[in-house]
Amino acid sequence: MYSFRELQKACKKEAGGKEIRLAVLGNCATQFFSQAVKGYGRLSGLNLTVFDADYNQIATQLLNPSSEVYGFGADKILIWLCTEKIYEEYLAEEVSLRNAFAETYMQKIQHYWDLIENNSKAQILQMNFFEIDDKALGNYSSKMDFTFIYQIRKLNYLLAEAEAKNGKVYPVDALSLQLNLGRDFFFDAALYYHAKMSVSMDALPYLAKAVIDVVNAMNGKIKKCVILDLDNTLWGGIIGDDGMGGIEIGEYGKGHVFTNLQRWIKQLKDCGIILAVCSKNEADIAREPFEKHEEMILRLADISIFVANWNDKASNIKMIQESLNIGMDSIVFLDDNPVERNLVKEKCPDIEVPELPKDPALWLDFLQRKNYFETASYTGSGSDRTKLYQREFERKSHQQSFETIDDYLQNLMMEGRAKAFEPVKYPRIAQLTQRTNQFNLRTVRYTEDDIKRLAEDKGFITLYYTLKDKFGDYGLVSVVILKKTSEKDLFVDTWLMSCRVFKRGMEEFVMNHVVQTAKENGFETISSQYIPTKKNQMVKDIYEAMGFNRDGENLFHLDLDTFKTAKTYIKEADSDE
Amino acid sequence: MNRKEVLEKMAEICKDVFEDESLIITEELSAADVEDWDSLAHMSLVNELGKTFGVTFTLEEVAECTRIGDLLDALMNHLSLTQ
Repeated sequence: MYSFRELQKACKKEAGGKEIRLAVLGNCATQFFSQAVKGYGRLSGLNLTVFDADYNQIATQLLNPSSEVYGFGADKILIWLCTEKIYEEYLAEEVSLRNAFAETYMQKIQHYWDLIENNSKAQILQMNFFEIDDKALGNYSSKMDFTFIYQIRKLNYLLAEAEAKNGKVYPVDALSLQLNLGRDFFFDAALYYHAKMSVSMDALPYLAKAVIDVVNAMNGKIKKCVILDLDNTLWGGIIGDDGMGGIEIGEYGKGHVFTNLQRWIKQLKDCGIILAVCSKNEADIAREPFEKHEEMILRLADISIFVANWNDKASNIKMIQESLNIGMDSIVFLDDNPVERNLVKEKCPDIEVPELPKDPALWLDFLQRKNYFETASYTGSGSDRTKLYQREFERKSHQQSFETIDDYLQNLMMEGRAKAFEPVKYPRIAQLTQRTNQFNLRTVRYTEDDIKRLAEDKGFITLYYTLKDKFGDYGLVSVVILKKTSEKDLFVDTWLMSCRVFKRGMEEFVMNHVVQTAKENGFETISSQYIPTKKNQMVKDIYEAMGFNRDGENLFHLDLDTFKTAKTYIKEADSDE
Repeated sequence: MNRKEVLEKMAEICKDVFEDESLIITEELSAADVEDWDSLAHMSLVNELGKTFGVTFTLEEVAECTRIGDLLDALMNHLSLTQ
């Protein structure tokens, strides 16, 4: 972990890319915290600007529409209410009112959220609460509703409940950090009493990391896949030598360690993370435990891509990455062997390769604390993805039996469908805007609330596209948001597409439909823009390829009369299904 | 470590915290003499000294040591107690 001084110095480091403006509001002094967050952000390559409000000015700042915080134009506002201060407020309360403390306090926080929502478009990062146990009644405190420990725990619970109902609020789980690192490490009494800072300088880098993890996830920087080694990683021993009866897995001894690791990995899969296997093994032997070993938690159905051969792992991993069509930086590779890890890291520098401790018993805790799987949305549809990727493999092998790509595409019997945004799809659409990095022309990230607003705004035409073929349903694969800039012209605010369907004729299908829609609504031109990022090079020329004229470096327009319908094998599905 | 050695080590830390390599650190130097020695930098300095020498300053020391010499006295005091 960086030291606080390193983070302070990093604040001066230049960073490119889109600027992120974060305002920090606290009931305690937050200057050092803000520096730590800014420094951590810069070290992670974020062009982060932080505004640090004077302490204890939360209500004043939020109530006044022309306050410094709103004037700063924050796109994210972080609220940090430190428990030391809350404890003092609690003690100032009449004893008879203390059992309602958490509820009253939660109303105050809700009020802050409402004010932010009314006065700005900023997303909210809300820190939860460290615990202080004042042992007023010893251990007995924890069951008496008027004690502080009871109320602060209740407040954490009420906060989580309220956040679950509010799509604009993103939690920063400070409590879990305090639990991991300990109160002694977190709290520096001299710092608190002298400078009103409630977190020690040694702990600030950890807190800053948590904030930056959340910000990165909000910007779509997330892990999507875990690639697993097998021997001595998923089970103890070597399946080729020790055989089915010899490998360690189950409830006893070292086997228990691997069972619990598998349970956690299975949960990741249920949360939408893709699992792949990459092992130096004979394929049949490597598969056998997944098919027949009674104690195995992970089964073949959980694994999207299973690669067991004697090729070098870096090549296998590149192959897996290309098949999944995701960025190398969204993959975590787990392997017990340091030599393999180094080789992979050297050939694929962007992949995340945890330096697992020597003792496998320590791995689970180690991996959990790394917090690789931060996310800013959850739709619950993730578990279907494994099947999708397995089908993708079938398609790939199917492809090999055709002479030309046209034969292949025709044979897929693809059907596409376009619809205007509808409420049931808002979460998935928002998620796509947050997660899609490659086929994304302007990379504008939207929250669920934003999507709802756009869908209801008469100044916009919103469209989403689904695709299916004879192997299965891809679901929602493309999103288009068109802004009416005049009676004649539509501007493409957003066009993104899931890379799983790239080069199938879907981009042509979407553009044909967009042009047709524009014509039906009486428009004459479509204007568009490509905003380059590190990851969306693949679409830099797509507008020209579709017949648009280039107006500036990355600006384009299309006269609808000149548009020639693009060739595609995707048929429009009947609209009433 | 004697007083002179501790002062030399302190000087390095001060130059880093105040981000000024040209600073001449003497026992008489005080917050009033150094532009960047504000209350935040003071906390940063105290923290760095504490970590480097493995001591924890008391609140009173943090609040009242405004000269290098004061911090040095406090440090020497803590160091003698731990030996």
